[in-house]
Amino acid sequence: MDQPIAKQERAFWGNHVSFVALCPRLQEGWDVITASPADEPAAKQAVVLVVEDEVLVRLMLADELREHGYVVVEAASGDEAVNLLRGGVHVGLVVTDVRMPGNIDGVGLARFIRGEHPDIKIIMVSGHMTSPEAVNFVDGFLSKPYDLKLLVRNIELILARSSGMDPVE
Amino acid sequence: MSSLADNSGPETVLVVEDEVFVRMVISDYLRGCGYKVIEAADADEALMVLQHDGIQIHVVFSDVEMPGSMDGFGLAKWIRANRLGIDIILAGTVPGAASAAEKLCEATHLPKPYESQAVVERIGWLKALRSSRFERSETAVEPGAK
Repeated sequence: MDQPIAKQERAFWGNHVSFVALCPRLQEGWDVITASPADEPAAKQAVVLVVEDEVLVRLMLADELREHGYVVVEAASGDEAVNLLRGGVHVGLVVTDVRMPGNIDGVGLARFIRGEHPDIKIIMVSGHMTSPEAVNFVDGFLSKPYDLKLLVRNIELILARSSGMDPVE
Repeated sequence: MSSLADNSGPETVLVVEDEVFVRMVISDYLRGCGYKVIEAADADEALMVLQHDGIQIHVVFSDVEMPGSMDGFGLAKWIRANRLGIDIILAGTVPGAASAAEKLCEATHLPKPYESQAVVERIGWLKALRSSRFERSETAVEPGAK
């Protein structure tokens, strides 16, 4: 019996990089995550908001996502991300760091998104263990340093699943 | 990762702007015009990008008034002192900014609010100027080489 893609990848990467399914939101669909080429065009219409205060890290991730065909919006802080979302920027998925300067960190941003924009998918990245509360808000968690290609692959998977269940405009 | 690994191809513009909506709009517009764009939220972020050996920047388009350790004038002065060959366009609402920009660093200035197309035209003008300077220097070197 074929394993779902997410599990195969997890097994492949082993301890090198961990994409941890901490999140009930993700685990509910863990065994049914599948991505086919037909899913990708719809998924890649989604706008990805990258929230990261380290400019070189933000640049690398944003570049990688643009090379994969995504429209990327960059925010240098949680405050900028909130401004963008409150300003009406339509986002399908947010990748956010946890520790950031300003009035709102990654956990606060995730809480805001769940309250105001429940359809937006969230992947949290951090070099530190984050608060247990965060797992209730996010669709995926990746520990730093992370493999860019693995992160992009998981973005593809989450958006593909999302476009199947709740199409992203 | 093209901005870090691949310096061939289109010109790279570093957009330095602390107002996220302004930065997003002008960056998207420039990308749509074929430029490679790197976004910095303030001068400190811009310095990190400019000091990275693997990133080649052709034009810096910077706001004048920004929070952080230096404003757009300070950033322009740093670039003039440390990164010759990078063109600078400053945008701002500070009174007298145009003349100040020219005096400080030979930077060109755009008053805010600006039209995105005006930025593209200014970048194109600077590129043409750079090309003509390069051609003149080539011509000047050639006779001495004999």
